Amino acid sequence: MLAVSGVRKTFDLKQGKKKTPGPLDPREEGKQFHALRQVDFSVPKGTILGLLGANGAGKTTLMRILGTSLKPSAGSVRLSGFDSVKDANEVRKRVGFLSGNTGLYNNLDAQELLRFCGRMYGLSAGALEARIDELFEELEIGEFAHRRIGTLSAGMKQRVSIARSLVHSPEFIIFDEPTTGLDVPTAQIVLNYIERCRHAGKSVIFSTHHMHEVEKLCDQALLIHKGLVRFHGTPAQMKAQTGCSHLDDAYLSITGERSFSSKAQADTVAHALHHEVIEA
Amino acid sequence: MINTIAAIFWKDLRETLRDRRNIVRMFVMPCFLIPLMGHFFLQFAEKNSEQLDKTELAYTIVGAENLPELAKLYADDSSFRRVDVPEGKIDQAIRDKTIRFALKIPKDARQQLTSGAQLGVSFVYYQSAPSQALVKDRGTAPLLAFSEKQRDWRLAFLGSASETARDSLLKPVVFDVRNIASDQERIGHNLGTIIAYPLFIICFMGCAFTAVELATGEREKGTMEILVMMPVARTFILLGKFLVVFVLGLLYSTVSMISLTTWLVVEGMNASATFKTVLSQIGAGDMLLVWLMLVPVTAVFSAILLAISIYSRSYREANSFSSIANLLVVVLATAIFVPGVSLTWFWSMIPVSNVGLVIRELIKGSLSNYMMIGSIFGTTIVIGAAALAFSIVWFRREEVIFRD
Repeated sequence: MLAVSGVRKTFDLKQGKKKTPGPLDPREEGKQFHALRQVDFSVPKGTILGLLGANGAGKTTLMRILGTSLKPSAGSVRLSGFDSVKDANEVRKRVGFLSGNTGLYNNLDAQELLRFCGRMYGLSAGALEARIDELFEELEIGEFAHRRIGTLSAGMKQRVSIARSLVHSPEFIIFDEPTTGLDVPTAQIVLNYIERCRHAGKSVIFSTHHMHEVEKLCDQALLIHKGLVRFHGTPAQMKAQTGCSHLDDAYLSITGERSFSSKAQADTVAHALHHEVIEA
Repeated sequence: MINTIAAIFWKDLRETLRDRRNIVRMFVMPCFLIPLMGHFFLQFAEKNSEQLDKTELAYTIVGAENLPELAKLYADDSSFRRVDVPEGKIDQAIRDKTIRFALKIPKDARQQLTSGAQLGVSFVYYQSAPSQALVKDRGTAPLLAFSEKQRDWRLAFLGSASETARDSLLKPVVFDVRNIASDQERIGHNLGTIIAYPLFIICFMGCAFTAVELATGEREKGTMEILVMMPVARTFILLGKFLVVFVLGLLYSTVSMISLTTWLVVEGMNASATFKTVLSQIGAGDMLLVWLMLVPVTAVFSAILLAISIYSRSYREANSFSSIANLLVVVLATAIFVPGVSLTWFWSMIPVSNVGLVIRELIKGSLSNYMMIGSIFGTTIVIGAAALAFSIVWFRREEVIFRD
C-alpha cells in the first residue's frame, strides 16, 4: 500500500531563470516554484494507476518523490509502512523506478548492467542470475543481452531500462512514460509486462499521454494539473464525472485548458487529438 | 560496504576503459607524444645552439681608424663580417639583426694606450635570453685578446718580464675552487626538476578526464539517478568513484613514467659521458620511490577533481573549474624551478611542490631526511579528506542530481 499525504515540493528559482515567461504560473512565488502544491492519494496493492497531466504539470516530480530521488518539501510518502525520507533505503528496496530521463551505461551490456544493479540491491549470485534470465525472457532481451547498450536501438534500450528497474523484484513499480518513442511491438511488450504485474500482486504507477493505455490497463487514474490533484478515481468515473464519452475529452474538461460550446465540438477536438497522438 | 564500493569501482572502471578515447589518452599521449616532443625539443635546442655558435656574426666598428690593430683582429677572423652602419642607427641595426654587435673605439684611443691610461671600448649587443650571451662571448673574444696583449706589454714595461712575476702580480692569491657536489647531484638537480613537471601535468589530466566523466558525465547522461535510487549510502558511491579516478590517474602516471624513463635511456645513449654516468647511477629503487611519490599527488588530484566534478552543473562548467585547478597545479609545480626553493619542512607541506622537491632529491640521490615523506603523506591525507568530505556533503543535495 502506498500512501501519499499532503505532499508539496518547492524548488528555488535561479535569478533570471523564471519558469514561465509571460503570464505568471500560479505555482511561481517570488524566487520559488511550487511544483507540487498539495498531493494526497493512495494506491492499494495490485493496482495499476495511470498518472495523467500536461508536460510540466508535476508528474515527474511526484514520481521522483515516490522513487526517493527527491524529498518532499512537506507531507509524507509511506510505502508498506516505511517513510520515504526516514527509511529511504527500505523504500528503495521496494520500488522500481524508470524515468524518461534515466540513462544507461553505454559501454556495458545488458547482462553486466543487471548484474551490477542486482549486486547493489544485495541479491545473492544465484538469485540474481535466475532473475536476470527471467527478465530477459519476459522482455525478450536475450538476443541482444551481450551487445553493448550504446549500440542498441531505442526500443531495445527501453526494454533494458525496464529490466534494470525490475531486477530486484520491487513490489511497487514507477514508470515515467514507458512507451514514449517506442514502436508498436516494443510498446506492446512493455504494456503486457505492466498487465502481468497486476496479476503478480504488484502495484504500478505509470505516467502517459496515451489515453487508450489508461483505458486499457489502469484501475485508477490520477490527473495532476499545475501541481494539484484534479481527479483521482477509475477511468469510468472520470468520464462519468465530466459527461464525456472519451477520456481525452474528460481530461480536457477537467483541466479546463479548452472550453467547448457543445459536447459535439469537444468530441471532435478530442477525436482529432487522439489521432494526432497515435500518429506521433 | 566493501561489496558496494567494489561493485561501483568495477562498473566505473569497465565503463571507462571500454571508451576508446580514454585508451588513446592513456597510452598514445604518454607513450608517443611526450618522447616525440621531448626528442624534437632537444634536437631543436641543440641545433639552435650549434647554429648560433657557427653562424657568421655581422658587426660594425665605429672609429676603426683610431685603433687599426684592434679592427684588424676582427677583420682577420672569418667568423665575423663587417657591415658599415651609421653611428646613429646602430641600435636599430642590432634590433633588426642587420648586425649582431658593434664596437665603438674612442678618438683618443691611441693616446690613452700610449699614456698608460685605461682605454674604454664600447661593445653593444642585444640579449633578452640566456642563449644570446653567445654573441657577447664570441664578439668580445678578440677584444679580450687585445686587452691581454696590452696588459702584457705594460707589465713588461714595468719590469715584470717573467710569466711567474706577472701572474703573482695580477693574482696575488690563487684559490682552488672545489665543488663537492657529484655529477649525479648537479645534473640530477636539473633532471629531477624537469621530470616532475610533465608527470604532474599528465597525472592531473588523467584524473580530470576520469573525474569529469564519472561525476558530471553520469549526471548529464541520466545514469546518476539510477545510482542514487539504489539502497546504498551515497558516501560509498563516491568512494567507489574516487577509487576509479585514483587508480586511473596512477595508471596514467605510471605509463608516463615508464615512457619518460625509456626516453631518457634512449636519449642518454647519444649524450655526454657525464650524463650517461648520472643515468647509470639512478637505480630502479630510485625510480620506484619516484613512482611511490606520485601516489599522494594522485590522491590529492583525484579528490579535488572529483569534488569539482560533483559540484559542476555541466561538462563545460567542470572543464572550466578543472582549468583553474590546472593553473594552480602549474604554479605549484613550477615553484620548484625558483632558485632557493628546497625541501624544507615548510615546502614539505605545500601540495604538489613537496612531491616535486622529493622527486628532485631522489634523482639527485641526496634525500637524507625521510621524515619529510611522512609530512607529505600527512598533508595529502588532510587535503584529500577535506576534498572528499566536501564531495560527500555536496553529493547529498538533491540539486546535485537534477542541477537543471
